[in-house]
Amino acid sequence: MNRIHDAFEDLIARHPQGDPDAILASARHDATSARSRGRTRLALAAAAVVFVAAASAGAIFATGDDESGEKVHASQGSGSTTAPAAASTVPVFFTKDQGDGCKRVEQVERPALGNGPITPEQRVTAALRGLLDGPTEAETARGLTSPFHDDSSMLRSVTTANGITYIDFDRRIIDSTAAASTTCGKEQLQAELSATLSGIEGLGYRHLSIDGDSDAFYAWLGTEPPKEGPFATTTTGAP
Amino acid sequence: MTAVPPGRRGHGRRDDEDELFRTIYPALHRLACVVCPPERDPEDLVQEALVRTLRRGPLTELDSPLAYLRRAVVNLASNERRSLGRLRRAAPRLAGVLDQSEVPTYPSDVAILLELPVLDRAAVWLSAVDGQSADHIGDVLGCSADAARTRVSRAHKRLRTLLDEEGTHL
Repeated sequence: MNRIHDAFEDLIARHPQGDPDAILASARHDATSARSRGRTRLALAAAAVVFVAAASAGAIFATGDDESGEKVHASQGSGSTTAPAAASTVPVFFTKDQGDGCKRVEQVERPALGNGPITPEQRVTAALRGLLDGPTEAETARGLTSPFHDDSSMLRSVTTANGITYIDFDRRIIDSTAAASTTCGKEQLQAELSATLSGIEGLGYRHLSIDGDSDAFYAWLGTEPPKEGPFATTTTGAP
Repeated sequence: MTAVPPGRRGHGRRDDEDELFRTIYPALHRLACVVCPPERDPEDLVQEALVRTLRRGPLTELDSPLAYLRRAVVNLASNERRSLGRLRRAAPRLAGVLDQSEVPTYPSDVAILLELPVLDRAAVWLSAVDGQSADHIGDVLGCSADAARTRVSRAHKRLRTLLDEEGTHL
């Protein structure tokens, strides 16, 4: 038994302990950021529920400013709701070093072009192309970085069917984002991709793949597939 | 004790949480080293387990923060192992992603330990090295104390088989 005991000790000794204060501080920061994002999503969901409820009751009141700057109120009857205004830009997120050892994603805007109202597919395409192309020179000068650089051709297709958005990348993306083979690079890539996808209005369930292979996508990203929705797995991450 | 993750109680101050984490960190780090896949850094497991736990509330509200965090570490290690399994299966399609030169190599006894599934490795270490009770092992592995005893017994048996195949004995 001593031999096994020694083997375990040998295994443990290969990984020196870190600084618990630094680990806790970093974890608090990450946990707070996640909670904040969760609250924002909850607020948006609640707003959407209220909007739908009001629409079904046939009494929507929109408030805005007219050209003279005065407040105007428009009342619409049942069934006369109009499509939301087309978004002309989409949010894309790149990483910025905060100078204190922490890195955070920071939002920039990219144009979403289309005839008439912008469809969810067009928003996804515009956002992902913007992400894959990486930050502009001006944004780089502001300190924004990304594992992506001039890679928008790596987005093969964005299609929607039965409420699911299918996003397929070219396998060349694996080589072009070599930084993602390190833990730090993967985290940065995950953070930017996750934030950008989360920032797209109207994007529900999504199926991500590389050359049509979902396993290849999550293996490249180094994460678990989604645990909720139509592509859920049964594994659990937290107790 | 039950297999349900330890609950939460009361409210604590941040200083208390700092002190609490300093106290439990060495034990948490040791388990992370034991269950972590060789391709990964145990500190990443500890960090991720801590983030997921803090999202739910302060450590000071946990009845048994060490057991709770250890369980999160073991769950993450199990998921990491599955994820790495998929990565290995996809390796032919992902040429260049896996740099085999970065995968550490170990002498034979450590290599044998790493052949054990994550839950078995944790069970053996918690019982034989860390000297924990079946209740604590059950809390960490997410099972009852009886199931934990069975797991420990089977894991020892499996380890003996592996060692016998290597021509050595416990």
